[in-house]
Amino acid sequence: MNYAPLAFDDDRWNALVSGYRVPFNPTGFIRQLMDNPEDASVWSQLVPELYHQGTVGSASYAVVPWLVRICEDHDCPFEDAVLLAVLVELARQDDNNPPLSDFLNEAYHASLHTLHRLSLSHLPNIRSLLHRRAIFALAAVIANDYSLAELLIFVEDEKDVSALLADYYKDVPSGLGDRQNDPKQVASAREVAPTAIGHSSLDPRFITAERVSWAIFVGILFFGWLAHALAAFFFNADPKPILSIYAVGATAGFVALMGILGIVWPPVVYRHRSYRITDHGLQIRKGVWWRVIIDVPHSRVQHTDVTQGPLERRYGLGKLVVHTAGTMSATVELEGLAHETALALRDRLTGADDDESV
Amino acid sequence: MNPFEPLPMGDDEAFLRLHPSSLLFALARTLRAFLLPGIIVLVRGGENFEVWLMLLAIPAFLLALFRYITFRFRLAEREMIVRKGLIFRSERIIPYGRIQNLDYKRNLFHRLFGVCDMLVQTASGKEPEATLSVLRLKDAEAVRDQVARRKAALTDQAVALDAPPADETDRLTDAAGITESAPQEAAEERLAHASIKELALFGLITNRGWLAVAALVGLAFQFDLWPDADLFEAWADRAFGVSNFDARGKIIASVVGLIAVVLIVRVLSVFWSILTLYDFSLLQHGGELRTRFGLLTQHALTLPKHRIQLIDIESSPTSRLFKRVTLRARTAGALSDENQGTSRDWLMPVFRRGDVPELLHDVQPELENEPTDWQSISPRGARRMMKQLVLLDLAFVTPLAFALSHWWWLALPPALGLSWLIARWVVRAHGYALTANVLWFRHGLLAKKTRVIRYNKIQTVTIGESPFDRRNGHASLRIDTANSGMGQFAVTIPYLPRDEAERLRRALTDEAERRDFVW
Repeated sequence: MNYAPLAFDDDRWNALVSGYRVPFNPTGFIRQLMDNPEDASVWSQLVPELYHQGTVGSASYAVVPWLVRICEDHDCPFEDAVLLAVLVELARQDDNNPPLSDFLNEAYHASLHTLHRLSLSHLPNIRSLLHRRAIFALAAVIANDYSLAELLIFVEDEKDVSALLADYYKDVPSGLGDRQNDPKQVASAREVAPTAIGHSSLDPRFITAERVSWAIFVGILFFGWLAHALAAFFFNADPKPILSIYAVGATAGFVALMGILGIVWPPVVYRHRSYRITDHGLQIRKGVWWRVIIDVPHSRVQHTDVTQGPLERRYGLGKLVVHTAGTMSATVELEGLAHETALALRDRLTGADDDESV
Repeated sequence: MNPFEPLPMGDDEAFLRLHPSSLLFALARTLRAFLLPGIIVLVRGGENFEVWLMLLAIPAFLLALFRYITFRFRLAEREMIVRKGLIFRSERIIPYGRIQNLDYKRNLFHRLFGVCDMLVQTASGKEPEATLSVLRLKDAEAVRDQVARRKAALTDQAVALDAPPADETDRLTDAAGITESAPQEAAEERLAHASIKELALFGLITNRGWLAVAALVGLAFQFDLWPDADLFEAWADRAFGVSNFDARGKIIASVVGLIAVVLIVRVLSVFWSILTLYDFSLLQHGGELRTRFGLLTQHALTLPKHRIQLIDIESSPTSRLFKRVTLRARTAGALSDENQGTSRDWLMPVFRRGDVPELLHDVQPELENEPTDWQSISPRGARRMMKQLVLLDLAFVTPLAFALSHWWWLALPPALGLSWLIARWVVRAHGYALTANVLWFRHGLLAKKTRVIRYNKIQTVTIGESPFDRRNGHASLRIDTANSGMGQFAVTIPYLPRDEAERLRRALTDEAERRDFVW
């Protein structure tokens, strides 16, 4: 069956949220898994984001087709992939979790069927009990028997159930689904620096807002010069030095240079700034030449603010300000978030523990 | 008593007043502020307005008088209340939980009257939250214990313990001042003490005599007493019987003079050390560390153990000669400024190197012994530092060579050689180690410093990559804590291999997040 996972360069990735209900862009992790699907450290970072004690986010649904694609590429139904797919699908039935978006719907369901067939064909070779159970649960899901699936996944006494069902699934049809192979996506897997894994980008409106603020700055400079030149033209006895070809040329050149910088620079800043909520807390990556990655552990967040300037309000942006008890990092700022995202992050960062002690 | 019930502003009887001798001290303070300008005006015979300016002493004194008359404080169940002002009354409420330190300080006059200045410090910043000036020493100690006890009672809400009924403690006043509080649960235990010999050694090592010299020079300038050269020669004439120095005589004289000055400064330094740090003791009282020192002006400072953010073990080349170190502890929010050569941060200004582990264990029981497996930073860092030093060398030698003589180019090879050694040594001097609860970081070529940070005091962990770092596959790791000093990270480890920096960042963030931070 054909299915097309959400392309890596699709803007919709940035709108997806993790199981913690904060923006989470898993493409970096997926790329890592494409290279090495058995990298336990990647799985251990990815899984808690996508499935957290029964809660999942829209990103979880988008990841499942990619996991299946990885399984197909390596012709192996990896334990973590099957387990995660089943857990996500089970959690999806809960009304508290977000619904499956239309644009993910087809690929998601198709990929589950593909994974089902792939894993059944490999079942005879799989020894791990949990792995087998996950595969059986997936089969139950495909058979629309969600209570059986839940039983298989969550039941305590593993051996009995698994022995029981192993019999049942002895004869399984083999054969793989067709798929579209996109070498471009695999090639781009190495472009992302390892530290940017799992990071979410800022809101793209940030670029526009930056350009506008830059334009305002250049405009003020230019009109300042203009006023100066006009005053010279009308009131100076000898306006030549100010209105000479060199002065005008230099000004025009300067304005043009600033204008070009204003157009080129903001996207560069945008690309170099991202953030991520980890198990530990907030991680911010920023800086173009001098780059930093700042980690603010959850328990060190004293309080958080979201601020909005006039331009930010115009573009629906907000700045997240995290206060710690530190000296140099007494305030850690993240500019260029969508206002709602900033608010969500604020709630996420302050929600955990309210320690009264100072 | 309901702690949420606002206190009636007029209710004065529950409040305590300062000791009556406060008035004298206020007067003395005013006088002192006007003394030096006053003398100058008298000696030099100032302008008319300068004399009139002196009359400002009168309103200043009146202000101090009002301050004393209106100043009240009170130890309520949960907070200390300080009230002052005649026309504009202010009432400051300082919850016990926020009080970081209660320090007291007494100079010679305080001691003559058996009183002291008490400083109430919170985490809020530079100025003490309140200054109780002056209290009888006995009362100050009672206040300190009372606050410590109430703080403890508030923390373990089980309370009750042996706290006397609220009414009684709220009104500590009686005819005698403050009632003796209930016997203390924890007695003071002396952890370390500096003998006079040690202090003399400290004076020798630190060379604080320059402080006295600087003060003298300043004073000389102030009074135009700067001796001119004639005077000096006349004096030398009388002292050595040489009337006119020839060239050789001048050299000998200046060498002798220099040695004499150095010796005098050292001797002054020893005196300074013994005078200001006399009887330096580090005491433990429950969860608090206290330091106490001074012969004339006595200081008694508190350092709550759990508020210690950083511990520094420092040594200079001379102190290493005598196998001594200086131990400092930085607490959150406490004033960490140096004051007349003494520092609030000192655990021990001078201490035997060999006894450090034991003392550290007393101060912070969760500290492990100093690690033996120090990790070094990338040796490639030496090459990077060398590049910077080459530029520096060239920046020095080139102008000299062009301006004076091309012989200066000959200075370049030895300078570069020295630079290379320095770069290697400096990079090698860096080291870090992670133990179960603590990050250790050491650096410094001449003045060596080992910094100890408990993971629960780490606020943020940052990886920084400059363009130069990227070219060499390096990164620097920066760790921030409370009160790490103006414009400084608590620790900056430079020239780390990129993946090692990443590994460290993960490990430290993990350790930090697992532990809750309490200031």
